[in-house]
Amino acid sequence: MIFALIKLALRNVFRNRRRSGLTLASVIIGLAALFFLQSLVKSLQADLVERSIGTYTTHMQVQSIKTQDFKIPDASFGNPAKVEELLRGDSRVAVTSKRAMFTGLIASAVNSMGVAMVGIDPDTEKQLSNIAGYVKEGTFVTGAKEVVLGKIVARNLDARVGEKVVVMVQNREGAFQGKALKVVGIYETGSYTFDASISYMWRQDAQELLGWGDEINILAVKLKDITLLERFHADWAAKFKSDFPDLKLLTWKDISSEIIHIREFQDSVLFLVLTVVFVIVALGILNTMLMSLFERIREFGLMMALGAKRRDVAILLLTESVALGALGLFWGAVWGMSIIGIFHFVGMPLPLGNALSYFLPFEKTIHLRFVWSSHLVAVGCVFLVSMLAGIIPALRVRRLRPAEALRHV
Amino acid sequence: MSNPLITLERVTRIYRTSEKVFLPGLGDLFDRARDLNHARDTLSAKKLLGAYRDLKENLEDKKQALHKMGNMADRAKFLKELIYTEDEFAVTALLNVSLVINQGEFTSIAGPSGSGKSTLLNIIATLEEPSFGSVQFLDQDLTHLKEDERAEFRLRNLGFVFQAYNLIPVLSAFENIEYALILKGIPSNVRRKRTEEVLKYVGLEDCTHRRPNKLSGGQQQRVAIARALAVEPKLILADEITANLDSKTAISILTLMEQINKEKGTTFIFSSHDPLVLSRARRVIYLRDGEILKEELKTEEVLSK
Repeated sequence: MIFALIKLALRNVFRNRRRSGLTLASVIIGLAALFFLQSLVKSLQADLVERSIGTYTTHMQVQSIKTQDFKIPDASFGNPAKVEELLRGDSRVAVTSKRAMFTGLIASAVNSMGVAMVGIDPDTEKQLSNIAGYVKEGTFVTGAKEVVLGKIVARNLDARVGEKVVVMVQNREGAFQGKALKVVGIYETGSYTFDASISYMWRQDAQELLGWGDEINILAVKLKDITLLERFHADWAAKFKSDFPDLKLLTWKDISSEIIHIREFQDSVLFLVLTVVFVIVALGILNTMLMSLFERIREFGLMMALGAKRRDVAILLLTESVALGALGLFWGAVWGMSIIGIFHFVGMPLPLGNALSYFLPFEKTIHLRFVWSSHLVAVGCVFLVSMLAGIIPALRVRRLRPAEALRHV
Repeated sequence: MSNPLITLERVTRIYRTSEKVFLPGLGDLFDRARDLNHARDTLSAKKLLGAYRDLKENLEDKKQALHKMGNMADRAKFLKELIYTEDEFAVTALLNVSLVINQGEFTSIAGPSGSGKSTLLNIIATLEEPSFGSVQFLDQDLTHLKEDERAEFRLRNLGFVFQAYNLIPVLSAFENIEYALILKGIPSNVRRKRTEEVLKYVGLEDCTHRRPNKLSGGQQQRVAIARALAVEPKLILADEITANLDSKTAISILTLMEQINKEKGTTFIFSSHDPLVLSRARRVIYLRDGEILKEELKTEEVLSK
C-alpha cells in the first residue's frame, strides 16, 4: 500500500514536468544556497575564533579581578605559581603560560612609537599560541633581552634583526624605565593590529621594567579540547570565587566579546535568509500542489467514487508534496555539499578577509567546512516546510464531495 | 423470485441554487434576469423558476407578490433581489422516486438532459445523499451513512463505468485496475492474478502496460469495465458510457457487459438516452423532471429482435 502510494505520488509529481521541475529547481537552488551560506558563515566564525584563540586569547585567561580592559589587562596579580599549579593539576588543562603585558614606547636609533609589549615564556607560549609561526625573519624570543617586532613596527623604527631597540615604560612608582633589547625576529601576520602594535619580549624583562616582581597580568590557559571549555569554566568559577577572590577566570568569549557579537549578527542574518528561503520553498510547493489539486479534482472524485476515503486522497496529496520536497532536498543537499566540498579543498577568495585581517591574522582565502548540525536543521526545516505546504491542499481535498468533484470540468 | 438489491423509497433530491452549476441553463437565466434590459424575460424566468421547488414557505408569497407587480422595472428589481438571496431558491432534481432494482438486473435509466438520471445514479452510488426518502442496499440502509462509511460501501459493493472513462492518466491499464484492489487491501499476489484475469476477460491482455493516452476510447472503456469488474462488485453503475464511443465500439462494450451480467450475475444500472443502450437493457425506467414517467420491462423475445 505504501509502495503503491509513493509510486502514484511520484508519477503525479512528474505529471507536469515543467512545473514540478521549476518547483524542484527552487528547492534545490534554495537548499544548496543555504548550505553554502551556512558553511560560509560558520567557517568564517570558526576561523575567527580559531585565529583569536590561536594568536592571543587562548582558551582561557586568569586575570586580576580589578582588570577593566581584558585585552590589555590594566591590573596585575602576584603569586601566579599557586593558581597555575592548581590549574595544571586538572587533567583537562594542556598547558599554561604566564604573560606580563603592557603598553609602552619603543625606540630605535631613528624613530619611536607606542606599542603593546607582551612579556612571554617562550617555551610554554609556543605551545598555546601560534604567533611564533608568523616569524618571517630571525627567530622567536628565546631568552632575556630579546624582542620580536611586528613587521610594521620594525619598518617604522627602521629596525632590523640583530639591531637594538629600547623599550620604555612608566613603572609602578611612576618613574620611567627603559631596557635595551636585541631584535631577534620580525613577524608578519598580515593583521595591521598585530604587525603595527604588538611586540614580544622575555617575561622577566617585562616584570623588571614594570617593577612587578613575580606579578603578571595574564595567565593563559589552553585546554586539551575546546569543547571542554564551558564545563571547565563552570567547574572552576566557584573555586576561583572562594579560593582566589582577587582573580577571575575568563574564557575567550569574555576577552573577545566582539567576535560573539559578530557571530550573533551573522546568525541573525543567516536566520533571516533561512526564513526567506523556507517561505519561497513553501510558496513554490504550495503553488504547485494547489495547481495540481485544481487540475485533478475530477480524478480525486473518481478515487473517492472507487472507494478511496477522503483521508486516502489527502494523504496522497501530502505524499506528493513531501515527495517533491524530498527530491528537492536530496538534490539540493548533493549540490550544496558538492559546492562546499569544492571550496573546502581549493579554498575560496574572501574579500572580507582583508577587512577582518585588520584586527586578527586572517587568511584572504577561506576553506569552507561542513556544518552538519546546521545543514541537518536546514534539511529538517525544508522537509517540514514541504509537508506544511501540502497540508493546505490536503485539507481542501478533504472537503471535496465525490459527486461534485466528478462533475468538475 | 425477485431479490431486491436496491430499494428507493420516496427519494427527493433538492439542490440549493448555490449549486446552480448543476442545472444547465440556470446560470444563463440568472444572468439574463439580473440584467434590467432583459426585464421582459421575467415571465420566462418565472416559468423556469417554477420548476424549482423551494424549501422556504415564503417563496410562494414572494412569487404571488411578483405576479401582482404591474411595473416591469419593479418586477425586475424584485426578481434580482430574489435571485441574490440564493438560499430562498431550490432545485428539485428528483421528486418522490420509489424504485426497486433486483439482483442480476440489466437496467437503464432513461430521460432527457436534466431529467435526474445522473442524480438518481449518484444517489444509488452513495455519491450524493437524498434530501428526503430512503435508500436501501440489500439489508443495509444507505440513507444516513457518513462519508467514510459511504466510501467503504462503494469499495465493497460497487463498480463504476463513466462516460469519460475516468482512468488515472499516470497509471497504466494494469495499474488502474490494480488501484481499486489496493484500496480494498487485497494482497499483491492476489491483486496481480485478478488484474491479469480481468484484463484477459475484457480482451486487453496485450495492452497491460499502456497508459490511457495510448489506448483508444473503446480500449479505455474496457479498462474501466475491467476495473469495475476486478473488485467483484454486486452492482456496476454505468453513466452515459456510450456517449463517447462509435456504434461498433459501443455494441462491443454493451455485449461485454451483457456477458458479465449473464456469467457473473452482476447487476447493471445504466444512465443513458442512447437508443442502443435502451434497446439492450432488459428494463428501462424513464425519468422526466425528476419523476418516474414510465417503466418498460422487456421480454427475452423483444430483446432477441
